[in-house]
Amino acid sequence: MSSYDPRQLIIIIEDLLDCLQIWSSVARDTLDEADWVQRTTREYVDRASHRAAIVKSQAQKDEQLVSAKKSRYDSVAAKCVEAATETKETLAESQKALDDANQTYTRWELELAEAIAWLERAMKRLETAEKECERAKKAVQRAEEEADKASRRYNSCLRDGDKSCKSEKRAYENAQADLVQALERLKRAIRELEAAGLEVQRAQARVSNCQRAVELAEQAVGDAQHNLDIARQAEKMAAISLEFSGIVQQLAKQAETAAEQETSTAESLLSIVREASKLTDEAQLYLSSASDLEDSAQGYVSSLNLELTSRIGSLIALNQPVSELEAGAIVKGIVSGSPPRLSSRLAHLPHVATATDVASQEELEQAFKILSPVLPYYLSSIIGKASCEIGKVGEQIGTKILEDVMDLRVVEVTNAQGVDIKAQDKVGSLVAVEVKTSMQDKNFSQLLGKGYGHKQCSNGWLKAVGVNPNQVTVLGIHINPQSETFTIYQRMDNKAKDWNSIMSDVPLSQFLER
Amino acid sequence: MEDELWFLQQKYRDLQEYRAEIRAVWDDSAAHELNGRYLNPHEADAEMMQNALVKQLDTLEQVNEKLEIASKLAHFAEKLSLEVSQRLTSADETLVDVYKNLDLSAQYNSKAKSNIPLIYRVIASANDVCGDTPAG
Repeated sequence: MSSYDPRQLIIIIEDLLDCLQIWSSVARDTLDEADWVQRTTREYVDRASHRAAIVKSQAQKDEQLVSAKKSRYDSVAAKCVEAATETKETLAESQKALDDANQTYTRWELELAEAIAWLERAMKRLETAEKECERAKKAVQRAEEEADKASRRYNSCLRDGDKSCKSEKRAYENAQADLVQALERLKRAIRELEAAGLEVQRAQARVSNCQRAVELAEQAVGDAQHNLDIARQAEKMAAISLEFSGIVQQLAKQAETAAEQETSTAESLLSIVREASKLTDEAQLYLSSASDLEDSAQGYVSSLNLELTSRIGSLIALNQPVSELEAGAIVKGIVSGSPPRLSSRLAHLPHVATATDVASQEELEQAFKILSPVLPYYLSSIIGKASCEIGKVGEQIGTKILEDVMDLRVVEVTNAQGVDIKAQDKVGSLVAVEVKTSMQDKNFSQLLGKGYGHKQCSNGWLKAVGVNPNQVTVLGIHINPQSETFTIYQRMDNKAKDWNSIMSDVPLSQFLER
Repeated sequence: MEDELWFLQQKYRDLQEYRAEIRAVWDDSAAHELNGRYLNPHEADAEMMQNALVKQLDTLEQVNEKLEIASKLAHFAEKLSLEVSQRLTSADETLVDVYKNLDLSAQYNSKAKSNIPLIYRVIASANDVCGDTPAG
């Protein structure tokens, strides 16, 4: 080691430590993030698993419900078929009853017509019989008169005694024979009259009964016709119920298909969630492995940190006489205005060291003394161009400021990135000055965040002046070019995010006069 | 996490590049000792750690893909469940009409069936009216 310049080695080792610290910090953050992502994913998987269980349960319920309902619908459909069959039979029976009624009616219509014809014949017979009877009666009367005359003539002849009464006798006998015949004829006519009367009575009774039969048959036809309408209505209702039942079964079939699909989907869901869970477990193993390796790597960083810090101490001790001389020159340079030198012991200088996290007014004044040459440069070179890239400014201009503006020799600065200036032209008003002075400032980058405070810059105006590695005063300077004023903010402590305004709306001219 | 991992890999590369860079200016026994005891094992562990994290990330991406599919499947299953419910509700509503028509049909059928004997009784009465009065 003796063949190397101790000051150069200090810088190398310090930068190495910085790199390790950055890696360490980023590794820790990454592991935290990985752990968070792992836990979040596990939670999502658990939720998905829970949801899958609910979906599966619902699918089972739906399937059972569909099965129960379908059974009921099938039973109703069977009743509908039965009802349709029964109503068809009833309709057929009703039709037959109507046919029978119509047949009966037709029959009795014919019977009635025959009965009426019979009555008409009987009436004619009666009329004929009555006429014959009248004629027979008259014939009897005439025969009696003829017989009476013949009898008187024959008796008269007999009383005369001397005459042959043969012709009178013959006439009397003939008259008697005619009378007998007339009486026989009358007798027959009376019998015929009686028979005809009876026939008329029978025919009239027949007609009357036939009329009654026709009336009853007519009633039967009416009833049967009405009943047929009822039977038809029953059949129609049964057909409608059967049709609706078909729709019900169709809907049940669709529900059954959907339920089967739901069950199948739920099973796929469970399967894929199980796979996701398995993969999450696998990822957990990788994370555990990474965590173990990170612990191990962090252990090396810690050990190396101790080792290198110890070596830096040795190198500083080796370089002690030179440093003290330079320290004197620095103090002298600042006071006299001649080019001062910065060294690794700048932290011990009164104008940059702070005893607490909160800077005193005096300390701020000291800080402004350092910053005052920076700002004119900044205003002319950065705001004037209205263009600045974050990051590069600190790297490139920081050194330039030290050399050209502050008139400090870079070789004496403990860190090549000892002064950072950051700006963000997009918001138009950012001035960021960061003075980092000690190589023992291990927490400085953490204080400003990853990447030397780049992220903090993104909120618009932040900046910092850090002058002591362990006791840092962090200031933010916000310049408003439009009003040509600036505001000084101070962070209340190293880790806080809140910034407190300590000087507001100070005219830039006043600051530049400093 | 992808950004963080990328950033970690960047910082890992920065560190290794810086180590390579300073090797040219600092290559004594002390440097060898520090490399052998700390930096080389650290490099190995850090690399394996990164690989493990990459695998974890890849695996979690697969998990996310599956979770997305699972979400779609769950949504589809819920939609099907809703469809089942809607179909059954429609079926139940239609069933009310089935019962209504079935009941009416039963009533009409019963009435029609009970009327048939009465009709035959009237027919029989019509036929019986002329029983004692023969035709002429």
